[in-house]
Amino acid sequence: MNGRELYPDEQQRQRIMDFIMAAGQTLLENGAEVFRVQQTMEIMARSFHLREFHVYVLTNGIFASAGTAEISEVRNVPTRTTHLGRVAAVNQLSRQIAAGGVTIDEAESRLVQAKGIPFPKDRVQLAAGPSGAFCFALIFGGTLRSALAAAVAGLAASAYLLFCGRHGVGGGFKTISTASLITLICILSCHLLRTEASHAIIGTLMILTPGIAFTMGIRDFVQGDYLSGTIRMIDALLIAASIAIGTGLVLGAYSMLTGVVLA
Amino acid sequence: MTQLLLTSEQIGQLVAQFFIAGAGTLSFAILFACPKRTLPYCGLVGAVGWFVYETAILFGLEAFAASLLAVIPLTLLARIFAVALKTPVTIFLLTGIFPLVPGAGIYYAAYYFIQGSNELALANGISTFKIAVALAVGIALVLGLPMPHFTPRK
Repeated sequence: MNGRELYPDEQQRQRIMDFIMAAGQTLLENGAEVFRVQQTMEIMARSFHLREFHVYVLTNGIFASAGTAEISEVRNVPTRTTHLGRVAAVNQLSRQIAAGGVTIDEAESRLVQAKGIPFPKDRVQLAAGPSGAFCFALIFGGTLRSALAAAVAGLAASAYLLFCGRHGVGGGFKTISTASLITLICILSCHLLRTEASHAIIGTLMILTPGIAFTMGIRDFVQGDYLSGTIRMIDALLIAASIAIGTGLVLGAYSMLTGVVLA
Repeated sequence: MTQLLLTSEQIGQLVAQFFIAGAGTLSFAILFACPKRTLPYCGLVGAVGWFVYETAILFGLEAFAASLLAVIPLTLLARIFAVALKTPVTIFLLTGIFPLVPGAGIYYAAYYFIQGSNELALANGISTFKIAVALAVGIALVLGLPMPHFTPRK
């Protein structure tokens, strides 16, 4: 009983199915595109000799059945984070399963390991945020001073995002408040450094911008998964709108207080 | 007709942009928890994409044309690294494309929309949409390209 036999029995089939569903869910939750999730699950099913495996994947759900609908499972995947290391690990696992030699026991424990790959340490995240903001402020045409201001704001934003993650603050409020915070700090520090704030603001906002949702939406569209692509695009639009609201609030208040209109 | 030769100052600027874009991409690759061994390649993909984009802009191309031109070598490089390192192409594509994604454009469109400047919102929205289409076409072109010598197991 190693899960590689040509005709797995009923219990074994159920186990393989559970494993494949869990693998698919891990991929989807951590930022793989719909097409890859579907493909990986099909490859795994074929390798474990799970017959008549059919799967339909959406951005936020997986529907699959096997053995002329003898087994059918649905997974709801409401939350999405981006952890590409986990995606790579599950992909690696699927390659090895396809190459043969990985038993279902091994596969299950490897999947648990892949799911457990931690996020980067706090201090790494706190370093990456400002350095990203710094670079993007420079790229978008900012001066060195405004890039410095962006780095300060990036540090504050990363710290605030970490705090939000700890305390379960999420959704629109998180994006709006972070955008406000970034704008506020950029305006203040650019005022101190006597430079223009707009480049610093855009550079720092790159931490929030829906680049992932947008790119994934494009990729889903390209693969013909129009429904998933639409979900991603709406996601991207809502994030962008939240950012604009947060920034707009602060900029509006600033121009009301000082009479200076900032772009 | 724009000039075809760049001044040394412009070249210096391009080189600087190359490294800054690489560092910026690297930062985001770290935030997205890419596997450690792929990090330098993610940075390189981002740097190459942005370098081509900036060069194209310097030669007077429009943003969407420059995006299309930049995303092709970018995706190609991402595919090559994906095969060489046996890692999903997503990792390189998602991080490498970050400088090119019109995040600022989406933001401006939404910002002007909220501010009530409908014309500016529309203009930004349309140019963002053009860039999005350009990126999509570029990605589709290169990902659809058969690569017989090192076909990725799909």
